[in-house]
Amino acid sequence: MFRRAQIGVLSLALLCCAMFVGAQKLMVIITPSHDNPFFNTEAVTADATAKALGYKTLVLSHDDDANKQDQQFDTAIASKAVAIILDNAGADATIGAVKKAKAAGIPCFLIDREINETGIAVSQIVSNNYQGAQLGGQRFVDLMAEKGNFVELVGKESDTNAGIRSKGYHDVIDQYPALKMVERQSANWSQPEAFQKMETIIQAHPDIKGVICGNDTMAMGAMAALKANGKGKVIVVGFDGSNDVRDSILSGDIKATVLQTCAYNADLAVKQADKYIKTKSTGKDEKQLTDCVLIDGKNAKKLNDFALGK
Amino acid sequence: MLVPARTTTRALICIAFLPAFAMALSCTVVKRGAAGTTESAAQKAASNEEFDAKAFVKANWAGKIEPELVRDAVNVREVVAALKKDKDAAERKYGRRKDVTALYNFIVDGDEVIKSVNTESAAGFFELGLADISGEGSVEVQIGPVIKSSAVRDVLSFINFGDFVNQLDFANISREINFYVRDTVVSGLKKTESAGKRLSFVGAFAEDSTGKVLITPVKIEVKQ
Repeated sequence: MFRRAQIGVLSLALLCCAMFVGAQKLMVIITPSHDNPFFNTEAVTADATAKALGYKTLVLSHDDDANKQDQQFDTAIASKAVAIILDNAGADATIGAVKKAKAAGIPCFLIDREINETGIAVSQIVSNNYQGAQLGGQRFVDLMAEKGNFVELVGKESDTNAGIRSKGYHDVIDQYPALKMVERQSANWSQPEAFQKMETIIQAHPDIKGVICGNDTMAMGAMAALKANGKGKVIVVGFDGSNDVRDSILSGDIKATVLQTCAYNADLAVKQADKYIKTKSTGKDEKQLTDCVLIDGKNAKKLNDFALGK
Repeated sequence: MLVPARTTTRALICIAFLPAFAMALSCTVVKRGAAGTTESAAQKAASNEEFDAKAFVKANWAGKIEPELVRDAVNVREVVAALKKDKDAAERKYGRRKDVTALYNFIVDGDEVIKSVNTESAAGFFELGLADISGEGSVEVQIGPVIKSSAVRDVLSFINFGDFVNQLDFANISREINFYVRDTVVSGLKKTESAGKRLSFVGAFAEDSTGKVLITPVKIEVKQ
């Protein structure tokens, strides 16, 4: 009760500020765990843009737990947030939370992942993972010269993007009959797990020519295992566009990755939220797709913190 | 005590935001109507749980897809020359794309000599007697069996991401367009015998950072 009262007073104070002083409205930014540099960049960028536009911010992580995300929505509602910027914890599990915010008059602006319903969020700025996977898959095919044995390391099976990326890869690769997948395993987005699985796979299939990975951390793990076993020439392709993989590409190890423009999306979402708060319209469709960009030896040095410089 | 108080607050907030919701709703209706896509095939299809992209492409090919490309095509020489001269101006004049972060796509037609035929790659192509934007390679027309790129989907004005449930349905449109090209548009070509002959075509290509031009044909004819 005491805590509730405190929140109540706090909210009231916030509301007073917003209404009478007219300054420092609150924007709540919720993403998956900041341990992953991708989501950290998202949160940091959204936070910086919101502050630059004169908002107070509350930056939270739901750690891919829909219940935690739900509680964070309650906090945002209780704190009278003017907008929620969200990289969500599940395409179906998030629908209820966004509906709840909308009913409380708080518009939601989604980045990176989409939800399976339209008409409740104001914007869904979606990274086109499928298009990105096709880019990566096509480059992998070219690097493999359309033939040879390869391995696929898949992300966490419960994550939609693991499936979407794998489908994007296979829709391209499976059209080339001389490319043969000898092993397909999940390494759960994890670098140490990818390292261990790759070590075992190398023993069973010493003749592999390429490894295609659902994300960059698994690509790093696979590359390390291959090098440790004298197979540094095996073609490895990742997905995300992390600084680690950038450096690996520049030193000639990993051959390519796919950049999701996460900093751009986060910045865009906050700007659309600001416009919506001021004019009740973003001037854009709800669902907006942002394309991924292929990163290889040619443009890797322009990549930093998930943004491609000029 | 807390519950009714909250309900009241919520109700008040709801009332306060009603005009905004109403406005948002009316905006959507106007936009769809103005775009002339009310009850479009895409929206009807998107309302189904299991979206059949193959049926969608088949149903729209003769009536919408091919006609839009035929109608809006610009000669490939004109587009390539314009992109060489002033990329930004050419993109504005001839380019189409689905979003601001995407690369531009162009609708082109032409009548060119087939310089060589590549059937080594599963993604085979005719190499035309016309230099690409980089000036280092030739303009290429895809002949399959693998058809790459989403250029055809991305030039079509009646297909928009917002009309589909998710990125997979949207992606499947492009996949099925490419299968249709493979199975219908290029399937009757006598590939290796075509070298040296003239090719008449209508198609689309996506901008490539290397200046390569790879056209996906929607109409193609090797002249005897």
